[in-house]
Amino acid sequence: MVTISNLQFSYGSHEVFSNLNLTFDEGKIYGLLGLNGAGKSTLLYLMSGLLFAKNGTVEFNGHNMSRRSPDALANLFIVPEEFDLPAMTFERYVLLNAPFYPNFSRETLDRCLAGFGMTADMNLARLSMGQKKKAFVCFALATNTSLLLMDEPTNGLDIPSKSQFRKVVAECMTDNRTIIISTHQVRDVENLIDNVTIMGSRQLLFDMPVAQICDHLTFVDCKLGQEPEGAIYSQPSALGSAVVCGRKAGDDETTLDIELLFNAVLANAESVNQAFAAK
Amino acid sequence: MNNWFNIKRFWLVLRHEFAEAWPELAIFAAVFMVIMCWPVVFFKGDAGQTQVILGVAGYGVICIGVVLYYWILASRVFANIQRPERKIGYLTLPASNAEKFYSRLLLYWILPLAFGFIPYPHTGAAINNAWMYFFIAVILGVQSSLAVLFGTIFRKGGLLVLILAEVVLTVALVAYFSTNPQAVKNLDLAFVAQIADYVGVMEPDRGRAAKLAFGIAAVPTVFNIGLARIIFSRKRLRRPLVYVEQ
Repeated sequence: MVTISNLQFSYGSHEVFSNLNLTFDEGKIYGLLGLNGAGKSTLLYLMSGLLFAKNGTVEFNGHNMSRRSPDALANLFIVPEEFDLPAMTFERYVLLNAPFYPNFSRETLDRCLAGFGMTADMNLARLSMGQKKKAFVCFALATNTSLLLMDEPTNGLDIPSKSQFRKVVAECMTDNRTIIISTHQVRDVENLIDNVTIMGSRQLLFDMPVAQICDHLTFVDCKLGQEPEGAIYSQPSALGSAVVCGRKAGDDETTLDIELLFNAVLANAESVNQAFAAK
Repeated sequence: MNNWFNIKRFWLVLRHEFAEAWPELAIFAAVFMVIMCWPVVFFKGDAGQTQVILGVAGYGVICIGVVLYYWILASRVFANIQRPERKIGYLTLPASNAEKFYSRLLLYWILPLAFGFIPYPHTGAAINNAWMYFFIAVILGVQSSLAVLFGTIFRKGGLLVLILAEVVLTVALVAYFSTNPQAVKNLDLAFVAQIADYVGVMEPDRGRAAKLAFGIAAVPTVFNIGLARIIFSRKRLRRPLVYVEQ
């Protein structure tokens, strides 16, 4: 689906990626996580042909994305963190933009809008930023493009809308679609993503399917000072300590604590990755 | 489907662009009407000497107004890639770079130039004057194509750079001629008359002069637009959008 090979990219003298290799397969929702400035948005822009690599390639279904060919763009949609919608009705917006996307589904659009409690007869000029974002996300999902990139999609959404967002995205997911959600608000994508990709400064720190993470790691709360032996990472929590441990034979599977994993990877990516190599 | 240029997709892009640009284009059309029509309102009546002087001045104002008008209009060709929020949507719209480029060029440059001068032949004034051809073709074509080119390079500063370049060029020319009396002598009437005679401007058939003027104008205009097209196809985001903590 998307193959990134030996990617090198910099803004002037500030190097963002050096020799990055990464693939995104179809049928998965990827959570692209990282601190501010780690290069999450930059990676999405490179994937959509909005930025050009200094060295290396970014290919989507065999298309070199720096060429921005219409065939590739018709199968890709990006929801940027900040965007401009024209001052017109949503119906008119759909009428003007939908013909560019061969797999656009009006039914999906109406279903997504209903999921957010919205209707298509709204004027985009009169919507708040959060409402605009919901309308735009609905349109993005309705395009049915095989690659959907979302940059901080939950920014500006109220709390009920964040859970509606997860529901709507999950409903629109298909086996031949790839959704990449870049966010620093890791809780917002919990229970939604199939793969966790964590970016560090200039490099990829962690890239693993959720099922494999749960197979190799456990996330437990314990009293302060009673951290289990061989803990990879621990941090203070309401109960004492939240701990990431390597999962041993006979250990029960635990629910993925994505925030804890994120902190563990940022603190010591090598130890976390070793847990996967060891088993 | 053809990835370089497809008529159906071009039409979709044109419709898409027009739907967003029409309020601005309507304002530009209204301004053009004002520029072209105000002398008719102000200088009607008997053609007395004062009226004639004012009429000539008005004609000059129209010329300068029209030039500035097309500069501003042409510098707006790529207004939708000036802000990153708009640029993302525009550059990822599923159409080729050529379709996007020519749709904006058509709306903001080709059609306004064509429509702006369609009324002229009917007045019987401009079309019969070879120098008017020259004025339209060279001043409007070349200079506004520079505004298109600078618009792709300098984003918001395209028009500013063009004005700056014109000011620098004018100052340089004035400085050169004021300090070189010989250069002024070389521009004597005989020299001008030779050129006029060569292009046939004094002859009743002025077609040759017009062709030459268009020829002179066409080369740099095509060059400017071609270069703008290449630069446009390499357009990208300059930096990531500003992160806003919620």
